[in-house]
Amino acid sequence: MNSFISKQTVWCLTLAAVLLWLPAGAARAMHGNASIAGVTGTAFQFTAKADHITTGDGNNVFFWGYANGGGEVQYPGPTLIVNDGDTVTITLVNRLPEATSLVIPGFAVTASGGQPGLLTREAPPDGITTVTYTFEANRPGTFTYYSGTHSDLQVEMGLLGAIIVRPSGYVAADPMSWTAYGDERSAYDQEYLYLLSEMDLTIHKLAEQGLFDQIDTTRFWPVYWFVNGRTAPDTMLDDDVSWLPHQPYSAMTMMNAGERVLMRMIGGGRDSHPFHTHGNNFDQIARDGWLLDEGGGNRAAEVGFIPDKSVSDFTQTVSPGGTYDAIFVWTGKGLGWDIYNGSDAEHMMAVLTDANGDGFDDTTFEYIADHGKPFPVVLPGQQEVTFGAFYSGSPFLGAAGSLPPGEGGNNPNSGFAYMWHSHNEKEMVNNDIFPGGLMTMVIVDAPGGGVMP
Amino acid sequence: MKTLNAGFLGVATSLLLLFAAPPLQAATVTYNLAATAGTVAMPDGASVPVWGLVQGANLPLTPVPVLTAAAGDDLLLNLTNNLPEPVCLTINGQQTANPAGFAVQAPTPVFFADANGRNRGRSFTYETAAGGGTASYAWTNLNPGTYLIGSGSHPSVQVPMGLYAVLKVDVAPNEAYPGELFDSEATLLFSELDPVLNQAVAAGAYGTATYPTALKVGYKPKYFLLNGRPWSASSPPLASVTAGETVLLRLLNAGLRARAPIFPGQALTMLAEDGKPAGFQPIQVTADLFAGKTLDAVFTAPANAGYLPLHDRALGLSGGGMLGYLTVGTPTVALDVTVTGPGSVSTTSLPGGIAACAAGDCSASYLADTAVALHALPSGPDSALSSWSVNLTAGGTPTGECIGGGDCVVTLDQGKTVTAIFANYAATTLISPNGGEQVPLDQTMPIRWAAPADVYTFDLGYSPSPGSPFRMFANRVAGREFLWDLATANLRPSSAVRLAIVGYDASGAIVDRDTSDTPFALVSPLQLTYPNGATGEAAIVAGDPVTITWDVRPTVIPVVRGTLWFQASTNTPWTLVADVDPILGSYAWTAPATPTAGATARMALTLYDATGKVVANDTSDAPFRIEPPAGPLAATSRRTLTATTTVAAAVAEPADLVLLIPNGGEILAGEIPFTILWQDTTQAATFVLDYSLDGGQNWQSLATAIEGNQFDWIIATELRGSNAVRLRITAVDAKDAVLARDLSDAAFAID
Repeated sequence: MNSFISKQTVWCLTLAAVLLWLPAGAARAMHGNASIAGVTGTAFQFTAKADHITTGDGNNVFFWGYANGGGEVQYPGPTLIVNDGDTVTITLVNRLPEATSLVIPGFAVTASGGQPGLLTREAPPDGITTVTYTFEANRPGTFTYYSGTHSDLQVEMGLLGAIIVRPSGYVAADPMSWTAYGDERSAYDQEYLYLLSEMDLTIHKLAEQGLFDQIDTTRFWPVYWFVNGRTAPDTMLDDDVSWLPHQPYSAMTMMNAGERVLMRMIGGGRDSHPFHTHGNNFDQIARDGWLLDEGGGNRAAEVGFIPDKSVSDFTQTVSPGGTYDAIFVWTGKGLGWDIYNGSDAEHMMAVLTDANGDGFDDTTFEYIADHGKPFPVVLPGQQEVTFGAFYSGSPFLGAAGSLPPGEGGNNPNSGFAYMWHSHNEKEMVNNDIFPGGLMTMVIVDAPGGGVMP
Repeated sequence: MKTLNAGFLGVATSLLLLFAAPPLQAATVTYNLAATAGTVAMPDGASVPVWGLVQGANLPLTPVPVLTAAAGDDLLLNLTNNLPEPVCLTINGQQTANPAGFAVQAPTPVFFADANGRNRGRSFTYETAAGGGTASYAWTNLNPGTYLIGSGSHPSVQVPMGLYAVLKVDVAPNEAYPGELFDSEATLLFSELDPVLNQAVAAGAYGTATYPTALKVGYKPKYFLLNGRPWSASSPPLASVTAGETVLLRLLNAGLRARAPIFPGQALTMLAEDGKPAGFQPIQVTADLFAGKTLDAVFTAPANAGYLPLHDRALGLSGGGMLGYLTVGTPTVALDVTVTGPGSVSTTSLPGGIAACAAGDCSASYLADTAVALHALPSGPDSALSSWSVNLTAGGTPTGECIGGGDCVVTLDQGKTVTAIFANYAATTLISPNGGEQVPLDQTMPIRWAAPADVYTFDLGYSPSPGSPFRMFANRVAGREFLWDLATANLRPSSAVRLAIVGYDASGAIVDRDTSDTPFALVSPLQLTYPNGATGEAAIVAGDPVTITWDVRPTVIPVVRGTLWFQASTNTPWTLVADVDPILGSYAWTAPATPTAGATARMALTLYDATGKVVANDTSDAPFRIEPPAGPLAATSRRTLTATTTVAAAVAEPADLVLLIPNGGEILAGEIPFTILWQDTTQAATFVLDYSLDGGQNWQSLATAIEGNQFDWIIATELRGSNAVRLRITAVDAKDAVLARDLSDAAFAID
């Protein structure tokens, strides 16, 4: 029988008169907060050059990319992190065999140097001439940049990247100040970038051999798909692993239950990709660096406050050149069972508190209405199931269970694991080898369970 | 919300919805269209068969018709079908009517029995018969917005063939939807051409074994059209607008693939999808223009005159593709281009304007101060551009632009005339570089030549200085241009580099060869500017502060540090002045207290990369003098100075650190350790020893943090047999700052 403890919870099911601060607010103090890797500053020196990347099937693929300063050339190009109001200058020198340039949509960019092209000024392939692109980053949000010269070849080859503009009031050292657009509607605890792209291997092989006359981009047929420049399973490695020197960015996503996670999704290639979250819907809060709001409005949602015209969905069509910001929160609401084990006597003795009246315990983010509800099925015996690397051994959040030797291992804090991926399923392969491509894993840990920043 | 249209859906709804009461003066607007076969010429010269809805005597897709009406009007389209199969017309989002009575009627689809006797759909509504048949189609009480007119018969073929047109319906002049006003507008219709499909259809082979269906063969669009044509230098602007205006963009996709139109610098306020205004108007940079969709958006034209480029971010850009521009302002400056000889000239920059100008005069107008890039295209492998010349159109004064080969970039602050002269070359001839250029020695440089068509491959070589033999750097390359990456050739500055080319025929036999008529120079990225011994430069007075300056440009291999050296005369050794940061471009020095007898002093600056290898160095072009200080205390003779001051030697800088042995000329036995000795009077904490195997050009570390005055060098076996070895000793203080340095005076050998 279940025992019920009298709860000292405050039930405020009507619209709260108090400011509904984020249910994740308390969680922030408990563990690390991830933010997107990139380069900061206001002056960047890009060199466009060629090298190779590695894909999850063990292939080396020739690519063209941007290197910042004395750094390695990388795919995608360096993620530039600047502040609202900064005047940003990017100089470009070109060591590729044809002219190249930079286009930064969403800003008024002035270009000087080099010679005029179709979209902007271009750096000739002489390795010497510098083109300077200057713009004022006059609004916060998620943005992208790519080559505006012979784009059907050069974007395919890898000349693309992301720009993040921090709002005023953002303090890197203080996660409580983290918002995407300056107010609580875009506040977050963890921040992740999903820059989606693809590659047609044939084009890269011909480019590597210098056979540019034989490249026909109208016959574009991608066989590799990338999140942040890596194919799965490399998407799940850390930033800056030494064996991927030209692919420094991770897509591994970790969060604690109840935290607001900012997803910055960018269409970096030429195809649309339907980016699909498991585990919950997200609320899309912005497009191309503008909040989806009407006159500054907001509304309350499961994730807390969001702009009033936000869209709740579980698949985001990420179109080429577009940027999409979304807030994702995982909670146990709707599962119908107690995520901390309704049949465990010690758990049932816990006192749940809900000071902000959002229906979740303020510390553990247990959905109070499901407190004590038992797990709905009897799990089969261990000999009758297969496990995989992400199962903790127990269906309850933060609880580990026994596993046969060799099983598990990818879930050290016994969280819940989900896959976020392109729902165009053929994109989850590396040159026809599954698993691979445009997918990454997400681990939701119990509050207090570590998050790798 | 967004819906994905996998293809053009010609389903016309027959809803009995009544919108707001039609205006009292609703009219019937009538247009006559003919479904006609023709061809369009693509910029690559290909001719693609198309079917178009034409008005009057126009040719198919030239242009795509744009029909206009007012909200509440009735629309009547009279269609003549000159094609070999039946067609019909549908408009998604407008309400059909029976043309005779204009009563609202459902469309009546047409079916046929296929070869297997199955009932198959062929048309969404009644057909206009092939081979000259006529029929009329009507829509009543038009909704405002932007709509795609298309064939609803066999649409998987007829729409890709080109049977589409645009319908614009405004609420009132310059009012797109109720309350949505605009000043100017532009229609952007995106579509594609698959030449293989179109050729099969035009030849009557579609549906036969040659080309069973587009599904089976695969839709492979090769040309990407904006308003019926791919971008080329002769494309007109999408619209001309005035600064600050509200510009309405009507975006339509008559193709089969999603497009992502983007004006990179503009923010679009999205008004409507498929003619349906949404309550909420998001601001976006990118637009999701799926197949069959229409979007209406507005933006404010910027305050400054300019060209606003648009392109498809889904990269339908091959061969020019889906690229266009809006002009803000009025073009007032003329560019005239005159071409003589075998070649043509085209603009490669926005907004185009000069397209394949050959053997004659061409002209285009541009906004003031536009920079225009012109590309010279020889008409054959044996022709090449001889020269550009640019003059002001009024008065003929040369502007000095476009010296040398390559593209010509002209800035139109006033009207200019560009003359391009092409010539034929009967034998293999180097065109560029053709002498006199100052080429940075780490640049990638294009080399261009001309040769008759039967000379197929070429070797290229260079001679780095007068009298040096040619070394090959390109082996059996084809074409008429080669990009030479000088950085990998590891060259030193030289004022007289020459190129040689050898041409081979198809069987590999040498046909002919050529060498540069005039040499060109390879220049260092570094130039010491002061003191440089230049006539008239400021004099240096002994003991006074001097700012040493240099120019350095970014190099391919980044320079991380530099060393400044001073030499009072050729009899005295170089002494280290300081380690400097090359980027600073200057160093504050105090001239030595001892003047020089005449103009015998020199400065040198050496720049190193992160591994310590020398990247560049430069010395004063001519020696300079260190003047005695003004006034009676000026020392006038060395002997006086020696007697009365504590300066030990009559040189500008006393050598506090002297490498004693080995110092040049010795032969070191390799099997036994050799004791290196030096003498030091700087208060050095430790010393650093480096050695060079090539006489002092490249240095490698031997030992660091050495204490005392000697070091036992256990000579590595791989160094044995070297005979151009030098040693370098550096005295450093506790913080590793360089105090002094000395080199062995000459090279020695290791047995």
